[in-house]
Amino acid sequence: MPGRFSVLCVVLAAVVAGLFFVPVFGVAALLAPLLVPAAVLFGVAQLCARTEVLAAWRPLLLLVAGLLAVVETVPFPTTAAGLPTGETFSALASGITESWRLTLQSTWPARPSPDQLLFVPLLAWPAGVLGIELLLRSRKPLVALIPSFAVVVVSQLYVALSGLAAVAAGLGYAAVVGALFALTRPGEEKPARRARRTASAFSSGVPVVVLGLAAAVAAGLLLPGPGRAYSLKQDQPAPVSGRVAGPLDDIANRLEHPDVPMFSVRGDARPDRWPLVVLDTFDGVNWTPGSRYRRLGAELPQSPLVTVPSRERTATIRLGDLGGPWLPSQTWPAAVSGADPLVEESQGSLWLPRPTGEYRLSWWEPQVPVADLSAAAIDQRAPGGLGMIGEPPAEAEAMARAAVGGLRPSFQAALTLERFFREGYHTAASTGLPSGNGWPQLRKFLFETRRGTSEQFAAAYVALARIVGIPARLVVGFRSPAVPDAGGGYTVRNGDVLAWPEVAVAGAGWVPLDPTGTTRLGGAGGPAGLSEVTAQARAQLPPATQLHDAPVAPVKGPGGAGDAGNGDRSFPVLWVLAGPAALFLAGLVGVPVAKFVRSRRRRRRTGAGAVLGAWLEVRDRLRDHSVPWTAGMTARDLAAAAHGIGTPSIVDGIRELGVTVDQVLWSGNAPGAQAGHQAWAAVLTVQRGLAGRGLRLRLRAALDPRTLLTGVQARSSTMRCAPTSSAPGSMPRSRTIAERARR
Amino acid sequence: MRLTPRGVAVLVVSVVLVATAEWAGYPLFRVLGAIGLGALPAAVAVTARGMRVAVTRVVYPDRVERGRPALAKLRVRNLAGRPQAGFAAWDHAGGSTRTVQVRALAEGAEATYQYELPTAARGLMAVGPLTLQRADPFGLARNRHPAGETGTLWVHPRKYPARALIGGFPRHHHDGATTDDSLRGSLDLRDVREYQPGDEVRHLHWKATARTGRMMVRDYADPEQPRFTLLLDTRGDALSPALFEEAVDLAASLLAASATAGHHSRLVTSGGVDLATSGGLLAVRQLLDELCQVRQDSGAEQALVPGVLSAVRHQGGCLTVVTSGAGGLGTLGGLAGLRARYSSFFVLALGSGGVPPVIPGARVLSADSAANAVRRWNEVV
Repeated sequence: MPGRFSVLCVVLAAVVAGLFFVPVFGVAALLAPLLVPAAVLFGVAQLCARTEVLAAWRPLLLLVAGLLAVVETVPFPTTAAGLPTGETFSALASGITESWRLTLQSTWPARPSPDQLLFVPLLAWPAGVLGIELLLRSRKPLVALIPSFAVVVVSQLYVALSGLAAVAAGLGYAAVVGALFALTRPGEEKPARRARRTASAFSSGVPVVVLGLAAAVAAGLLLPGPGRAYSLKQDQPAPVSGRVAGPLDDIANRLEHPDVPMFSVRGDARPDRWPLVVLDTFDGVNWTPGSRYRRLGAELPQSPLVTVPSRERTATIRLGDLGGPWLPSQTWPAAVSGADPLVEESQGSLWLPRPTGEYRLSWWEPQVPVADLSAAAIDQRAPGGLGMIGEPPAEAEAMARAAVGGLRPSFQAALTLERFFREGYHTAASTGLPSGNGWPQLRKFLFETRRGTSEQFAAAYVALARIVGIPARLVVGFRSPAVPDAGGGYTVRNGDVLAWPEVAVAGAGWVPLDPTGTTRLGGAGGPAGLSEVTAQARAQLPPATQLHDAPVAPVKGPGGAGDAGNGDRSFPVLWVLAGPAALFLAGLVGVPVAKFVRSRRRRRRTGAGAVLGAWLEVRDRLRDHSVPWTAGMTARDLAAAAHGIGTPSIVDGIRELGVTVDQVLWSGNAPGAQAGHQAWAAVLTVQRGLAGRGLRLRLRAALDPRTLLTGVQARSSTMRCAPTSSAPGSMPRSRTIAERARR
Repeated sequence: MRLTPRGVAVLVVSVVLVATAEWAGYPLFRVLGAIGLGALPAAVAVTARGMRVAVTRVVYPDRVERGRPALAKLRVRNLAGRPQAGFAAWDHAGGSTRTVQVRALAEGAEATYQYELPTAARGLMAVGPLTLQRADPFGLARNRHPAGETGTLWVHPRKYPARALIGGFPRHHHDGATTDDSLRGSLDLRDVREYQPGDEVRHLHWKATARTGRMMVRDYADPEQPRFTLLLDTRGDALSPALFEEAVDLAASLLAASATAGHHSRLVTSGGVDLATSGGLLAVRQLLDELCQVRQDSGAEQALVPGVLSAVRHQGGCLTVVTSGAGGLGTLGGLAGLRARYSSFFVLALGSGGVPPVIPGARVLSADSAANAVRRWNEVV
């Protein structure tokens, strides 16, 4: 019958498997929902094992108690003082049918709300119950691990752990499995036998554990990672419902009603603009925003596009007449509290069809020095940056090339293009605002009227930038008003609506530009972040005549930075082999050196200590030569044991030494000056005898580290030696040489 | 040195995991698979070291009555030139397996282990060989090889104290067959022969001595030699296996009592076994050894009375038939013909279900077990 520790291992396996959802929900959110039901399951299993009446009801009891424990941890707010209500059951039902899907639709780490978290304990709970039942019925631990391993598989289909996390997780699960294996070895049917298993039986498991550990580290950290794993998440975007008017088309309308308050902002940062939505697809007629929305989880990590350090900023936004579905956001949102919007991860747009009240937004603000930004390259990898632009008019390309002054795509080229718009075009004034953003309208704007709203400026800029190879996208939003409110914040109105282009800069991410020149830097009284740095770079832009390309960086060969990105590292064979090789060399040199040092120290002692040292030296040398030695042996016993391992001089030497030891330690007289010399002369005799044993045996003896390892222990504790020649009873036999020497 | 079924399972799962990881790109599965694939060679290496031990075995006693204790004693001696870690050993005794946990042995040390042998079933039991096993703590790999000699334990049938029946066998007599029962303890003159040193002087036949001029003595013999013949029914369909064991116990009880009393005892089975002994302790052992190995026959439609008993020349003494009570007159009918050749004739019917069969001229004792049958035997005899 598998014992209670085996049951505990099976339950723990389910818990560990559940903990593999940590990247989805975080550790803190998962601990209670996994550990409490596990503890309850274990307790019930124990109760059933001890109470015969309950044993037949064990599966049912496990199921009910485990479910109750799940109810008391995750959907606790739906219970009435801990008692499940109808609401609890509907929460459980949606937990089974919906929560897994809601979690897949969210960004990760997801919010640990019950409607999303519930499916994890609802997976671990049946895995634990099934595992216990399979263990107790089939008595096969491998079979009992199948349910928990199924949870592991599901967790990996959610998020595939990699690197150090994978190694730690794998070792955690393997530790539980190993403990279960050790507790249920085949042929160990008697529990009484198990108690007698000594530490030595387990020491044989050390190589297994060490090799398993090494294999885990090698597979997880040293070998190049396998390809990209499939995740269920990638096929589960959140459904976005409702038809919305094109945000660009609203601009003219908004500008005609400039005083309607849209939202007000209060917070530690004053960004110069508030993006609503990003449009990166242009088919020549329409600009369309991204459509892969997800639920916003607990926090969005920093984008891999931004490699410069970022600061987290927060602001509280109170919504006015802004109807939605897009919420004022920032390029790199980090978290939203007070609302539950969807987010377009690659664009930062927040989607909430019926927004109400206020919410708190925090975002990442890249910190780029001006010099870096001026010299920055553009980021060709930015998603959507070099999308299609429909069929541009024939003269547009020539115009674009002329506008950037023949520069290669770079941030400087982007600024030059911006200057082209700022200097050659002007914004439309209050009445008769032009509208439209397709190629016909843009063509009219670019070549004929040279007058437009920010809509035409931004659309034309993005189109021309993409023609010359600068990744760009169009953003619609609001600029910050010039005058703050009386209360400290500021209110954004319809008239502040703005469309602007953003270009992708290597390291800094998307950098907003302003071809209309109408944003108000620091107008609202706070630092403006990236826009301010852009303004400084703009100011430093040399005149058009002095523009020239930055020198081309030398092309990096294979193995350079270009290869580092895709994780294709070569296996560090040398480093892996260096460790064992160093250990081997250290043993080869270190052991004989340590023995030599030990011998010198023994020889340097005086009086009885010298004799004692000689005795220890002889003992250790003979032990090196595989002479059996036990703690109670006298010199005479040792001589008998050493008989036949080599020349007779060994035995003679030991006998001589025995006489000296007896005289010094047991005669009661103070040792003479000659005693030490005699003892070490005997050692020399023994050494000469051992020298005749042949090179192979001597080499093995010299490299044997065992006497070094146990020398300390033997010297300090139980080395007892009775007199070799005194009459029986004249001295207590159990007095050690060391003890005697101290007197 | 090979993997246990668990080790094979771990190997297969690990290979599948690693293959899945490489194909689908899940690093965790690769780590788990690598742990398995790393642990397995280590487990094999840990268990690979041979076990150089000498195992001698003593089974004591070597013959034991069913249900009585018997011990197997193992002496394990370390032959390797170094201390050896402990290991588990399996000893096979009959159909069962006993685990012996051998503790760590110092260099040249010897340890003794003993355990009780299962003696629940009658028969010849081979004890050993000892299977040494070294397994890693996780049970992934093991190394096992047989060591030591095998012993044999004779598990005899159970004996209940029974009385020996004295049934005489009329020997050849000069005056022809005796017509009446001779007095118990009488002597029958068999021959007059020349005196040999050691002969009883009181038996000197003076007349013949005088006539021949040589010392002649009378050679006396018992007129009726006690003789006990037991026919055990071994037909496959006569007795159930459990009841057959009872029948064997009963046969053992009666034969042992008779042979211990020094009577000529003879075991005959319907399967053809015929063991005639002349009594004494050696005979007891012979009979019990034979009974230890007797099995029910498999052939159908066999006669209860074997050929050796049907032959006319076998006669005299007491004939006891241990058989099933359920047979009826049809199968037991052949017994009636034997009555004339024996001085007393018993039929012990086991498991007759309360209605003893009627056999002309035979005393039928029916019982449900050997113990009851012996009790009734002791009452009757």
